[in-house]
Amino acid sequence: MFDGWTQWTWVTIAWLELVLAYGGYLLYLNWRRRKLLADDRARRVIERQARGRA
Amino acid sequence: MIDAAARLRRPLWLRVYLGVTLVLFVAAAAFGLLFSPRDVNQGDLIRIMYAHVSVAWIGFVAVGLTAVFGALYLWRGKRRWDVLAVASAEMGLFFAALTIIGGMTYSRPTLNTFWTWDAKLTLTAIMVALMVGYFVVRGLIDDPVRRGRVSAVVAIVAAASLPFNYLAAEWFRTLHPAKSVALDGSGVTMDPTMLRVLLFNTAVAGLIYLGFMLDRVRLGRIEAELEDERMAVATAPTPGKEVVRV
Repeated sequence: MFDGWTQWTWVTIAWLELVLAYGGYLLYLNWRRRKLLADDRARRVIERQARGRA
Repeated sequence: MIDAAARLRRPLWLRVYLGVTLVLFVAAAAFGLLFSPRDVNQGDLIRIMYAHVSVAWIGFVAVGLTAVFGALYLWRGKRRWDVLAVASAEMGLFFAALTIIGGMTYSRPTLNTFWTWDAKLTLTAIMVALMVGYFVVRGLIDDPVRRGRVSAVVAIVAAASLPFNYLAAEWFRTLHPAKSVALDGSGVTMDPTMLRVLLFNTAVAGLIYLGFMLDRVRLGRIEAELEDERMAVATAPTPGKEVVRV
């Protein structure tokens, strides 16, 4: 399957891996940031409700 | 109570830094893809080397720094060392995994195989497995102090493999090529232009590591503060309820 691939095909794939990995890691950090914020907001709502019941 | 929403936003200086790094990455790719000479034996495939080797070196640095931060946490016990260790460990795993994937992409057209249990490849795979173990361990332990200590030991074990990994290609002349640049100053068996392109790519990979670290450490600090706050709330006595001491 890979025998017919040219040298430039392999070179392009190798560099695309870097682009995808770096871009993917930045997206992961953004997702983590949003999740942290959502978790924090949810926790504060639960705590407020718990204080209201006490 | 900390204001997570305001602090979670990426500050301007970090956005500028990441933007400059992106420009430098494009320049590094252009040097590797367009300006580097072709290799006598590998032809254009040498252009993969700039992506693969630079990432591998930074991966080793990241794993080494994880162990240093872990050791500092074991010694000083300050939470900030653990936050730094986790951020660097994530980078170490990221770059080491990228090294393996890039190495496979380089190996297939040059050596006619994606993978073999060559000493250097095996040691790198073990290092990746240990870094995965680092995060598995962290996920299993709730107590922050114990979690930091145990994972620091895992990081030190992972870093202990680095000298063997560095020397493996010299000791065992199997599939992975021997070093073209020796850190002990004994010599460089590489075209000077290629060496300059490689060093520039390594510097840019280092700047990317630093940029990701800065962002990840900021997140880690806020996560640690929120965790401390959560634990303080959970352990605080409930008002109006009598505490029964046995």
